[in-house]
Amino acid sequence: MQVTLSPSLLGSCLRDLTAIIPAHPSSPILGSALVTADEQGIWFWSTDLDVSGRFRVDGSVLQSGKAALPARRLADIVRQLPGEDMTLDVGDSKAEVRCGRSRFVMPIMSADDFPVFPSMEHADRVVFPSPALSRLVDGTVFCAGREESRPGLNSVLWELHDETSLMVATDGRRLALMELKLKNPTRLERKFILPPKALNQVVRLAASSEEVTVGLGERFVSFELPNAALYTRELDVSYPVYTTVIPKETRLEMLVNREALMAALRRATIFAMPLTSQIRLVIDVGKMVLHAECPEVGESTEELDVSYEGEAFEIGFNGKYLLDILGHVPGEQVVFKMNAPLKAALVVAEHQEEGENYTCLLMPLRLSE
Amino acid sequence: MMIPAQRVILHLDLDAFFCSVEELRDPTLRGARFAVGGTPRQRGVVASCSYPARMFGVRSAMPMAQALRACPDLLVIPGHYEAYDEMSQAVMESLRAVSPAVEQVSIDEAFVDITHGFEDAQSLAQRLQADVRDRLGLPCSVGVASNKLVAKIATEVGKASAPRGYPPNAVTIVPPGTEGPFLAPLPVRMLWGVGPKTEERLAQRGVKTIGDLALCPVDELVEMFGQYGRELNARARGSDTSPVVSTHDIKSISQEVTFPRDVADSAMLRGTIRELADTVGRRLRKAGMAATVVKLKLRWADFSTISRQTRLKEAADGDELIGGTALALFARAWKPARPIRLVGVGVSGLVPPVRQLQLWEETSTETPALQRAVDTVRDRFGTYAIRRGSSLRNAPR
Repeated sequence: MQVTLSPSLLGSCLRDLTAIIPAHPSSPILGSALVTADEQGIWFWSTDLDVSGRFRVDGSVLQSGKAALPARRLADIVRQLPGEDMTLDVGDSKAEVRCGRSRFVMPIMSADDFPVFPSMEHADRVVFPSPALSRLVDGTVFCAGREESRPGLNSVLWELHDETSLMVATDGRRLALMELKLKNPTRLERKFILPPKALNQVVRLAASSEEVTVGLGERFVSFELPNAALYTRELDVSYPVYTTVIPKETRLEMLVNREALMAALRRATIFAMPLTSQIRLVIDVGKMVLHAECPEVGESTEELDVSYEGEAFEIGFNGKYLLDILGHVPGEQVVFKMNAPLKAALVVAEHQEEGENYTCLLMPLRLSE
Repeated sequence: MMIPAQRVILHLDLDAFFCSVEELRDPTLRGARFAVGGTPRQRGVVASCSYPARMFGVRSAMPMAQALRACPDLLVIPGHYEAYDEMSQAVMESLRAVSPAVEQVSIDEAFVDITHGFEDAQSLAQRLQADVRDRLGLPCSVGVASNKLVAKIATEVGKASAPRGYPPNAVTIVPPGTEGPFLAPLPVRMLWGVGPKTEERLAQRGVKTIGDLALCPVDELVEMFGQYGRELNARARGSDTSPVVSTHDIKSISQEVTFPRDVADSAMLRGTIRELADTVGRRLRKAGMAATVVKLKLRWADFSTISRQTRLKEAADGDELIGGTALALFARAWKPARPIRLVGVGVSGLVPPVRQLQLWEETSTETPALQRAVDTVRDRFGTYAIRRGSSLRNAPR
């Protein structure tokens, strides 16, 4: 196999590709990139067995063939090459990269050892607008869990209905739910539980395209773009029943300027206990006081104007979680909908974007009496 | 801290506390010669002895072997420290009902600042004593004076002058202004800070009673004992300005155990550390606090002792984290095959607990609900009613 291609194009392809490869692959073949060159063009493939991707790079195929190359090593070299085109020459046991007067030789593995990608031949397909998909993912995935001890929460729930699509992510302390009205009916009614990693990756790839073709297979979902495709296994976990934890009714409503609150929180968290980032909010008619303290660090107090008419009360939050949420809720003003100091608080935009229903939920900290 | 010109301090001491609790547990012990503590084979000492046993010369802190020589038919009862702890807390609660300023000195002893009460000292002392006796079934002695030093000595004097062979149930009031005359005839060793050595040095100068000491020129005492001499003189005159420091504001909690025989078995040591951590955790939760520092103490057979501690990233009050952290410290400090005599687990850096609430409580690995359930079981049925599998080999038989 012999191909010539541009190091900068290959470099950006390898960035997407190596993002899929686990930090410590369980076998060398999972640390490799499969390269195939034929009449379909030059494609690079990688997988962690749950998430797989293939990426096309423009270039000339001088001789077709395929092989598995050490992915990170290849990416490291390509990143350092000058602008001129490079040649990738794959023999029986090694691959050679030539560029100008430089030459690099690496051992290769057999393409036959590379895991087989899922077949999406009989999958249902639906064309999904890229911005909508990005909005779903951006608004929710930051709330997905990351703890190994709770695998059920390290996932994202995606529901596709005929006219709407909904995505939910939660780590058990906070939850984000985004529901979008779709312009074109999907004629589908499906639910998937997907790894956050795959969805983050899709959003990066979809930025270059207006639409994504979503393939809905038996146990896999694919996202196909003209020059790339991502496949992800549906996770075999049961998703928590999120509907029961979202309060249907709330007694207390507070309207606050989003930027002002974020700025105050950024200051307050400097004085908050590490990890819990505990911020005490004392809410009263027309004003809110943010208070943080940490032994040996000090304390901070700041007052903010808010629109609030209810009874005075105190509620504690992890300041970093609250900042995360405020960074995602759109608009100038946000509304806090609450019931009691130890009950979940809803954070929503004062005015929802058109065709959008976006809700964030945050469990408070139990403050000491 | 402002010290009011005239304070009223009450000192309460439970009479033969462990034994009184044992008598509640087993009424047939009443009137018997018995002691609570470890057996001679376990190198045990007398933790508490009944008043009938005291008639034979048995005393607290005496090696059990010696106690048995003094009183051969002495019954030796293993301690039920969980029960003592609970009764002690109940007593402290009765005291806190009288005044918020309660300083617990030990499991069976406390000072209460009753300066701001409306009741006169005599009737308050008698009421408290009756309350502890009628409600909890425990005898106690009370001393009241204008400061802690004299109040404590008043209790001791009351106890010593009660008929022998029974719980003293003494109430001793030292009216303000009479501290000096009250103390004067007593031996100097009854004063705080006067140990056998000081006593001996004073005796060489002919100073035997507190009254003698009060008459000693301050300069002479300073010459003998340095600045401490000044303090001795003040104490001898019945003066003490130390405040009652509410022990509700606890700074640390720890628990340690001396093994009957030195232990080199790492599994047994680890099990013990877990159990100590459970006890510490439970006391921490009862105090309504969380800890930011976990400590481990090890003493080897040769009495060399180390203390290791680590700061937690987040304040915690769960047994799992306290025990896990103590075990991690143990793993670093433990030298295989070197037998250990004592192990202790403690927490400090106490702060009010803050807990991130969960949308679904059961998703957390060590749920507060589980911890609460374990605490409830132990509160009702005792520490050993529910145990970790890892510590079963340490079970009391």
